[in-house]
Amino acid sequence: MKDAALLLLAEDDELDVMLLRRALKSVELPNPVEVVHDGQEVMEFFQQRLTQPDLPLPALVVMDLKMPRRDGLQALEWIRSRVELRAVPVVIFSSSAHRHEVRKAYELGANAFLVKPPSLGERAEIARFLKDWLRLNRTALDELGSRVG
Amino acid sequence: MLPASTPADGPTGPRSAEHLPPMPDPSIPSHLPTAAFLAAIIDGSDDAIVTKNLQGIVTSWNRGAERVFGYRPEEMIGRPILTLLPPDRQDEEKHILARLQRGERVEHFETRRVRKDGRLIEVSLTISPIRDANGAVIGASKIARDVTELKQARDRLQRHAAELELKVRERTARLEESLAELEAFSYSLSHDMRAPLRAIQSLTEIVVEDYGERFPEGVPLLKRVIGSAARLDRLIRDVLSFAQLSRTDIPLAALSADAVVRDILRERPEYHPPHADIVVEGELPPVIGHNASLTQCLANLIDNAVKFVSPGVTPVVRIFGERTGDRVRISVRDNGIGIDQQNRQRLFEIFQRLPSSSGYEGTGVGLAIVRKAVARMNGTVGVDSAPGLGSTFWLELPAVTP
Repeated sequence: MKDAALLLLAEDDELDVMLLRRALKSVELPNPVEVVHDGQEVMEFFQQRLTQPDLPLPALVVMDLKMPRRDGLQALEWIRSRVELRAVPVVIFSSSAHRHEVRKAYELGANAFLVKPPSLGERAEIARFLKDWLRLNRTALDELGSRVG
Repeated sequence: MLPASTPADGPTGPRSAEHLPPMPDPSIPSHLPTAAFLAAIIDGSDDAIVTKNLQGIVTSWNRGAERVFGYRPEEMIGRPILTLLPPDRQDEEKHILARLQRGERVEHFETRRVRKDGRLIEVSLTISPIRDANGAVIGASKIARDVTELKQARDRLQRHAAELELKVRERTARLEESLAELEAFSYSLSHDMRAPLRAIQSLTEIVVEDYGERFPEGVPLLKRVIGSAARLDRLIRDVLSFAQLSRTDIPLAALSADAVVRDILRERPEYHPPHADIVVEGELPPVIGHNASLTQCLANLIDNAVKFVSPGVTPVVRIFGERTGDRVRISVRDNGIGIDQQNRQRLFEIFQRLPSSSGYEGTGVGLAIVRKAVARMNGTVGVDSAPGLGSTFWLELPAVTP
């Protein structure tokens, strides 16, 4: 059986990275997690993947909004502008849910919008949601994967 | 008072009341018994009434004309009407004469004329052809009204309106700028202040989780750190939702206050026995409002009613509604600590926490949110209370009229 697909986490705050990793570990998420630190690195990550078709695309991108160089919305817009990446699921994970931002994120093609909770308990709940989502949800990438593989 | 030289072909028109009856006027058929009477009316008019022939020569000049243009009759009768036209408007006479010759009237034509003293005045002209017995146009009567003051007043009014418009636009722009700043402020508040708070709370929780067993005596202190951080986070969220209340559009519609209250009660286990005794008496009348806002208001009121009881007392809360005319009042009565008279006014202001409320959880924003949200739904809020006797908080909203 092949390895579980990658979860790409785009987050500039080391503490948030640590907290989410911890929460994902506590719910025993089988997928490996790779971390990039801003929107620019998200684009570089995908550009590299696209030049190496043997590397699979991530099963899910979890992305902060407020990041240096390129923010989450800019990275999301870029992802959705690439035909090959349009079907990659992207979950926004932001410290606030400003209603304009939520709307903009969905307009640009986000698949979910989650707000970073203050407590560990709620963060574990979000980790469980991501795990269940990865387990239960069918994505276009599955279809792509079965055709290619 | 007669003109020194009366032009051979020029009639002396009506001039002044003292001269009644006027000199026989060849242009007015003498068999008309009302000629003198008409002449008196013309002479008494405030407007300048002038006649001229088709060559544009003035043939009569009333007292109004004398006042409006400053020329005496003897100075104008027999002279060209062009005397009254400013140099840049001399062409007008040509067009007027052309229209008269076609038998047309010129009505309320606004233009400028020049007085004897050289001053320009604004006039409104009405010019009609005069015909002979066979119907041929032989001249024109011209009524000129001095509208200088009217026009100045109108111009002033327009200028004021324009200035006002400009001022409103400037102020609106400034207001929009402040709103945008406020928006940016609340954005950074939510992002930049909540991030370190999250760090404090989460890291302390990790310490408790991972090392709490090794340092059990420190755990209660760390839990207080966690609680404080959580409270500050709640405060920031409350302030943000208060700030958003003034900007968000809230569409108003008929809704069931009864369903709103019952939904709130259903969702919270602490609103049920043995924690609390809460009863909705009868069915609350429907109101005109905004579902999410009304939910927030009533949830805050119920939350307060349950919260502010003396230690060891089980909250007893009664919720009831009554319709008076076109208003519906929804009341939440509790058996809490009550509020004294002098503090009742401050209660609905933001960040006001009464001395009696120390020892109770809260951010001091809840009732401010209620007041603002109710105001945005065209309603009012209030409280009846006495220390030790509980409080009845109420809100009034427009009733649904059939």
